[in-house]
Amino acid sequence: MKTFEEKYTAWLDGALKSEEANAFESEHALIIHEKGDFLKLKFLLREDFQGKSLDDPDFFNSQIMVQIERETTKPIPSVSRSWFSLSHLAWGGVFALTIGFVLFFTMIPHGDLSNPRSGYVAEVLKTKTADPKIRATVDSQKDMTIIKLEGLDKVPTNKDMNR
Amino acid sequence: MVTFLFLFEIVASHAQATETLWGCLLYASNDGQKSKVPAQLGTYSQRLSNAFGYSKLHLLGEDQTAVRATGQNWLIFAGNIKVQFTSLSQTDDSKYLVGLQLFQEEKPVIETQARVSQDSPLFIKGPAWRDGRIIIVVMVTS
Repeated sequence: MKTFEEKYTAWLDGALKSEEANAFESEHALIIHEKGDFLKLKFLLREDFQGKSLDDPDFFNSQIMVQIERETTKPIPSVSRSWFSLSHLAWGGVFALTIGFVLFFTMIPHGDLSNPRSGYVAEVLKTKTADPKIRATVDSQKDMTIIKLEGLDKVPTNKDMNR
Repeated sequence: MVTFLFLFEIVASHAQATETLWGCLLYASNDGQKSKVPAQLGTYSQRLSNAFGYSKLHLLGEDQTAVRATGQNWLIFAGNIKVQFTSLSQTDDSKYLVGLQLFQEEKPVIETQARVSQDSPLFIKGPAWRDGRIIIVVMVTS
């Protein structure tokens, strides 16, 4: 059983059989004039949508191709890089660490800091005398260390000690 | 560039510099002669006088030698007094561990080991001579 829309569309297109068309027109007498309006509209649409011929189709085509090429080769805008990107922070850390090491080894004194006013260091660690009659004592004074030997043979008075 | 400088400093700090062993013989007495000490001991003159109880110091002789193979480093003074450096090594803190032996008349007197810094003299109160005392001074220098 055809619906009204199906019959109406077929009637507009002239697809109904003559008996069906007559029966449809007798049932819907008010819409007979719509067919005329429909046919006029159909004619106008066909006329407007027909392809228009261009005066210079090759030039128009080349312009289209240039436009397409331009849009396809347009560089993709790079993402704006922030100063605080990960790579910048990493390099900044390496740079700061390097500066720190350089300053540490050049500015901070290292070594013996026991007496900053003088570099005198003379610390007797061990003494051993070959002769038991000789005694050795260590006198550690500020900036001067003396090994005192007692029991040494006296140098003869007439001995020439000048060299 | 910074890394290169950093590594260079480490290497340079551990590099073995050319050391020299220097020593002298001083005569401490109370005679009238004017004191005469080597330039290396200029700042110690008064303090040595006070420490040994003598008012005058006289230079009897000095000697120095570049560091050679162990056992070949001698400082030889008049009166047959000698000092042999038996060992010399550098510590991590740029000091020196020195082993030395003092001889008098070819006889060993004392053997000692000391930790010294460069240009820091070590004083040895030696034998008596005439009216005073012999002082032996040894030092590692460059």
